[in-house]
Amino acid sequence: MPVSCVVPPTVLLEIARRGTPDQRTWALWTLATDTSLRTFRAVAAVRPAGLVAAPLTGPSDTPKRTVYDGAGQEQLPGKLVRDEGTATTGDEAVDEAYDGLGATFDFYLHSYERHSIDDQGLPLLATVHYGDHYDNAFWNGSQMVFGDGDGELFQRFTRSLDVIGHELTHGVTEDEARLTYLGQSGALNESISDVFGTLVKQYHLGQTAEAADWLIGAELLAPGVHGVALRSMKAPGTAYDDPVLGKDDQPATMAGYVHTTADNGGVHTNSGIPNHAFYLAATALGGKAWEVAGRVWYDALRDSRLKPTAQFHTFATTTVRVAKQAFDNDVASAVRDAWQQVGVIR
Amino acid sequence: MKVELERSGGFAGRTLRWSLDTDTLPHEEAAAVADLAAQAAHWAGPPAPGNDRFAYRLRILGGTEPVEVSFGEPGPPAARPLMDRLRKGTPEGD
Ligand SMILES: [Zn+2]
Repeated sequence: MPVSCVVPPTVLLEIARRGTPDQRTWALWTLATDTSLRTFRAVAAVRPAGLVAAPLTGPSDTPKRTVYDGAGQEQLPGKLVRDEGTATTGDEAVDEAYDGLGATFDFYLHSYERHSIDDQGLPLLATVHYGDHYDNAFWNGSQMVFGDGDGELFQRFTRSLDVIGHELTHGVTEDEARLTYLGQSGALNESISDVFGTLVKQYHLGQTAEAADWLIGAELLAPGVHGVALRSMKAPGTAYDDPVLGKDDQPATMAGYVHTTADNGGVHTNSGIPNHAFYLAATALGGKAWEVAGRVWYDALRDSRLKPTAQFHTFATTTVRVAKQAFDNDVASAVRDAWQQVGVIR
Repeated sequence: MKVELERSGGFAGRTLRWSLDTDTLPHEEAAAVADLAAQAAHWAGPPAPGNDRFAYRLRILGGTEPVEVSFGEPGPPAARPLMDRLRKGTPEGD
């Protein structure tokens, strides 16, 4: 989501020279987001002394986090309670969100040289304590939102680092492949959030593919619920089986693909298939999953030929192609084999 | 009249259904539910923006004609009283 500048630079410069202080600040800020050398020289000529230097050298290697408190209401963003560089608040949800956004930012920066959601240092915004016993976390197109859970089945959603990574990754996908949130492209969108969400956790813990649990939302299930997590990439369909919560219905292979009109065509159900393909590829390749398998999936997500309506098969062949480009035939063949095992590639 | 509210989606991808049969309600309450349900055809709306949002589907059976509308969370303000009434009950999962 690059900042779009609709006012021509010549007009902005005129405002920067002759406008009111507020207008000057706005015009200089807008010009500063245009990093062309021509604009840089023009801005340097009119920048008043004392104005903080704008980042003209590319995005920073540190995140810009802001956490808001929804205070039980369903209104966004809520009250600002912690922003970048400030001390812990003692509110677990606030501090977990702050730390989780930081861990996710570090993961993308150090694994894929990506600067935040848009690779241009976009500020990371999160609201916690959203709604009353709200049983969910979501991305609303511009920020992350976390509920406290109902307390009986689900605890607060910030407890799981992979959930925070999952939500932030929805922003990354929206900035890259823009996978349509319906049917197979929607299940791919979901799977990509689970893949990078779990990789954030593995990176944070320094775990290899063999040592990782491959679970999504393990920490947020309430005590007493019969289950280990909300989803399992290692064994989709086995995460929980509880009299109240119900049973995990994710398929691991195409033979179990679920046709439904609920949940945008079962995007959180059929994501089990590409999730399991990633698990199979990552464990076959071994080592730290973000280094090879994760890089392949990341390259596929950014591939210019991948369309928003891509189905499982197209995404699968894209991963095989980019694996060959970024690595070699052995990696490509391990990736192809994983997709064959889940029935996406024959 | 039977009124059914389905909530699907969300991070957990769990589908829940709440239902009410006005025949099982005291007369006054049944009339109140039927009054609310009579408006339901006007409640169709777009899904909530973004990802992992809750999606709702409301079905009315046994009225003058069957109604089925979909909308994203939190739902239109006019629908809230009926949704709240339905959600007081215990949901059924898939
Ligand atoms: Zn999601």
